[in-house]
Amino acid sequence: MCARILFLLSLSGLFAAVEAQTSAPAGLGLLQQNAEKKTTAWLNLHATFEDNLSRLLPCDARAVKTIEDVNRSSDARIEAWITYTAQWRSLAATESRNAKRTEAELNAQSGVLQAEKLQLENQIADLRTRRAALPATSEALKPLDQLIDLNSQRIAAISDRTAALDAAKQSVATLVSAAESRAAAVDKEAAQWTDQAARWRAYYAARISRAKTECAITGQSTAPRAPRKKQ
Amino acid sequence: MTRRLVLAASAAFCALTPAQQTPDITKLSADSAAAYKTWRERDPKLESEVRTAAKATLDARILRSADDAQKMTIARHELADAAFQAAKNALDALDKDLGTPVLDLQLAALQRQQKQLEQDASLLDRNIKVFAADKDPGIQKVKTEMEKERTAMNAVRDALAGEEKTLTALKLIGDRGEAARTPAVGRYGELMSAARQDRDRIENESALWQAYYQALGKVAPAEVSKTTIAPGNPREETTRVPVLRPGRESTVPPKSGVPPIVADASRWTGAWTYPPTNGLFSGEEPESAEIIVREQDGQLVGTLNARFRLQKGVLRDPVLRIDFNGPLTATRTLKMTAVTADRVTGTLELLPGSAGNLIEVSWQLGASQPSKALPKVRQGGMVLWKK
Repeated sequence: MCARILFLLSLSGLFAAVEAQTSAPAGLGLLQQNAEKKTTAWLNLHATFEDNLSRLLPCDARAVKTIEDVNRSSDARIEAWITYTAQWRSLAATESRNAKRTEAELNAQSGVLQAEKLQLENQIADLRTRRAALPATSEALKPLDQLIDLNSQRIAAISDRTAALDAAKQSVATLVSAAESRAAAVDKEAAQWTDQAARWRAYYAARISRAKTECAITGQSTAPRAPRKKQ
Repeated sequence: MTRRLVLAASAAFCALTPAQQTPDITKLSADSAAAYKTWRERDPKLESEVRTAAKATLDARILRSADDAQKMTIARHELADAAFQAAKNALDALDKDLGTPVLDLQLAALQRQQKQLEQDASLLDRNIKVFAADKDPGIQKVKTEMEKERTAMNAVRDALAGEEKTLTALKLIGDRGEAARTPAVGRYGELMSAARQDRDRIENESALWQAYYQALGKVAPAEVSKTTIAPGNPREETTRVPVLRPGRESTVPPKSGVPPIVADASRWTGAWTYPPTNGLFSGEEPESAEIIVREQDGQLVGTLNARFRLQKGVLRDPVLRIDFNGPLTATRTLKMTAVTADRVTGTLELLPGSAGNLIEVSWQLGASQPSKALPKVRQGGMVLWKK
């Protein structure tokens, strides 16, 4: 029993690892390739199916099957796009969250830098007071002066860092905005696939309906089908 | 002190690196502010009283302030490390394309579909037109079906047009994001570099504080250092005895009140222990320590066994054993050759304490360490009393 549980747990770990792999950007690329491959396959079928139908008699059983095959291929590629878009959506949401966190961290760092600067300024004032209390010949004056100088250098460096932070903030704000817009647009893209799938199905259903009507009005006759102009 | 700072900071830095976790910079800033406040408030009159305070008291005060300065510098170093790590993490995140898809390909596929549908629609329109001219009821039924098909086709074309709009918008958004990403990456590079430089400055700061407090100890006038621990009963300590800091060599004439230079082996030999409470130390705080010293052919031979209370995040071996030996000389400081159980070599100094039952010990070990062992507490000092 224990061995079975362990086996199941190891399988679940394996699935988790596979899932983690597909969630990487490389996984997104593979999903995209798969969707494009299926789209090409479907488009090839779709581009030729009217021509193929025009060669069949109206009541030829292959007519409806031909349309159903194209419909199935269309469903398969839309399913692939839905999988791909779901993954993309997850990544876009992650990107948006990361950008917002980066922005928040930048704001926190600005506050920290200002606090550091104030601390160093206070310490310089304090060290100067302490310096004044020491004998003029004290060996301690030299390291004390160097400490004051070092703090001054750090204050100057903080000013430079603050300027770099402010510039980074502007760029990151644009990134946050872009990431939010992208996440919203990907949501929209994800939502449209269901609608698009329904519309394609409706189209192929209409095409099957026409084929059946053509059969019904012609019976088993060899009446000519609607003309199909060679593309 | 510098080494301690670097090791502590490096340990903190390494702890951050594997998980790439972003440090809590606000908390570290608060820690730094608290450490600064402690230093500032510890002894604001130290410098003004450096010439008037009693030597023994003064040394203890200097030691405390030096320790506070060290802690303050460590906190600053950790904050600078955190700023570096935060910039690095942000740069890594920004520099990583989370999978922006190749929209051009998707758009191209979409346009192929649209073109195909245009052809389909064109054919259908032509057929509808042809069938419209024929009033045969059967033909009219087919024409009606064609019109339904045409409606369905238009619905698909509308959906494709909507998708094209969304994909084009996504492409523009992506371009806008990329345009902002490049300068942001550059800025984060600057921030990383600045944080690195700040860390270097803080390492210098540590050394300067050390030099400052050492020099401050020399400002004190030659004043009597009163014996503060009753011989034979060190726990009744009323004023802390300073640890003699490195650099005070025996060549310096002893100040009045400082115990005289002794060449008597009995001053050093025996078993010495670190007091369980109110002990004096520099560097890492001992939890317990013992030294056993004996004389052998004009040499002093001994062993120091110590266990330290290491600060959180300090990756060092809390246990230290040093075997030492050196000549018994009529100098204030006895300089010994030291070697740890792991064969790390260095020096150990023995100094007389302010009372006959006290000795001071300080040691410094070399950098070489066994490959798989934690680094030893390489530097430190403490006052021990005779068992």
